[in-house]
Amino acid sequence: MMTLRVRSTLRHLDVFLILGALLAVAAIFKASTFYNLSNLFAILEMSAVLGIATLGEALVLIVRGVDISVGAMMGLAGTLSACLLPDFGLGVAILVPLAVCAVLGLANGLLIEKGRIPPLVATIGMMWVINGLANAISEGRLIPIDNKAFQQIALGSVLDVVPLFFVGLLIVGGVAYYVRSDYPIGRYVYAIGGDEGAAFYSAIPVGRIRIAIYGVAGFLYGIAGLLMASYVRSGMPSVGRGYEFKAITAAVLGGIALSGGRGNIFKAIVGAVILIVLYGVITAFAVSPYIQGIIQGCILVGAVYYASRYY
Amino acid sequence: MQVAITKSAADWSRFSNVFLLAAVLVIAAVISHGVFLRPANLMIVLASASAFGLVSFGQALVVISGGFDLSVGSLVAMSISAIVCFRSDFGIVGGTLAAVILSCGAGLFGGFVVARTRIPPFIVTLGVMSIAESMSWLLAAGQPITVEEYNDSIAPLFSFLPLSENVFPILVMLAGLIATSLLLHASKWGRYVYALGDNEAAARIVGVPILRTKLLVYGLSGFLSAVAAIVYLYQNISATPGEGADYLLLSFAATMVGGVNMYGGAGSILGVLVGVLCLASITSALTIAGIPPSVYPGVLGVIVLAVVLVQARLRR
Repeated sequence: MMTLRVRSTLRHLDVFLILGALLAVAAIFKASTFYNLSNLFAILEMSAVLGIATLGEALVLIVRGVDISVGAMMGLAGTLSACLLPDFGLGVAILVPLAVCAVLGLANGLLIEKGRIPPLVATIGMMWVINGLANAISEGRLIPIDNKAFQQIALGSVLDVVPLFFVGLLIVGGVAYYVRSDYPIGRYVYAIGGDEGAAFYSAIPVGRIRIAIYGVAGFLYGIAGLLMASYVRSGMPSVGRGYEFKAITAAVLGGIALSGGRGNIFKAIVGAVILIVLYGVITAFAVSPYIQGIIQGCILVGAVYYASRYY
Repeated sequence: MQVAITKSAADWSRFSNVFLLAAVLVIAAVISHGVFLRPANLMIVLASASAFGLVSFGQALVVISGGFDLSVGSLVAMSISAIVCFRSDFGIVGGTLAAVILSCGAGLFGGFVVARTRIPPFIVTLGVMSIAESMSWLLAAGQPITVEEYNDSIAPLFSFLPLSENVFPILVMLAGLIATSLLLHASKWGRYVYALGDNEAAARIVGVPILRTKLLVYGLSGFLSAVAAIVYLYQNISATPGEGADYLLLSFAATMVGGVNMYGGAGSILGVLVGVLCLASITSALTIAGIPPSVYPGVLGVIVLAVVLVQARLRR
């Protein structure tokens, strides 16, 4: 009885344990290279970028979809912003890309819900379209960002080490955790992923909610893209390359079920932090950065396998 | 009645392939002011379609069996690097063999995991893609990739023909076309692939060997990726690590445009060939018209979405 309870508690805390273990490994072996201010800031900043993208991907996975257009949207947001900044100022350069990403997200949802295209195919198609758009805007080049105020977005911090966006992300994750069970909309979202037919016959507007979720996800990818652009001080269509993959891995690592209807948003964000910390640890050990992909592939397949066996 | 509707839809889609190709050729001819239709250009288009055509045949097999193979592009990249890496110790033949074995092995591994676990195919092949992409960088070890051997040894064989450079890729694609067509349309394994894609549970009950069929399609997809890498090096001689990843996009587009059902269970290799030729023609016409290459994915994306939308509508 006792062991059962211990085991179930452990299962609830599994992501935190992994994160703790990683941080401990870094502390024991590479304390000076890992635990310094600039490295921690970089890790938390990238965690915020991936975390925001993961938030969107996790929402989509919960309603039993999948979104491959993450990286393309991030690239488009940054590129568009870098293009608009010199002529139209900060406000337009932030609002327009976010609006465009939200609309493209809604287009994803419409293709899937109204066009009856499987999510994987629809979002891969959209990925190419969005990528083509970004490339057409930038003519395939990197656009530097000189605007001081825009650069400051990524640099704002609490106590010089925790980026503001990371704090914001944790707050959003915490709110999402409560919305999940205490508000109708949260329960609707999980109901749609759990059993679409049952949700439909319970008068939940399945189609509209799912389209809206894709829109919200697009908006979130836009934020992640702007944050990234602000951090690297340039707009480039390929900046988000591979982020769809990272976001899915992070979400799955955080226990979001690919079959929909199950998973905890907050843990998905922790999954994103784990991935970034892991890359940080790999870098601290000065292993070839190309190992990353191998580890990431193994984590993705392993995490899905674990989930398919034990949940 | 239902049958009749389905049948007419099937007829329509069979002819739609031909119409599509004709329309694309006309558009290509107009965009390029007729340059596209010159015999020399047509032959170049065919040759340029070779590598991604081979990959597309593999992709089509996997999609017909009800899966997705996101790893094909990265397997091409890994094969290119593997050829270079193992060439230094074992010669070009050894390098080629190593690439084929590695790529086949990766495909078989993916097929095994798909068959034996409940992990969705796109996750498995996404994992394989990530691993293969890393491998392509690790195997190349930062060296520039140049492989002249294929071109030096094979091109002279056809020197008596006009535009002899392009004969080998076209022949290889033809061989791939015939082999995969025979497998899919004239053998019991082809029937298994369709059965599997149509209804896996039913296929299992009637005794289709699920594991072996999945190993076959994913392994073959890996093998064709390795062959595509050889054709790529024959044509381009040099490459950077990670190159070939675009083939994922192209193979996917060709499969969808070629009328393969995205849920599995229907489609033909000839249809995929039409898809391949359409895309190669469009790319060629865009190049002749002077459109920057960075925009091509956008054009292909629009085409794929349009075709898939029509396909989804026909199914209803």
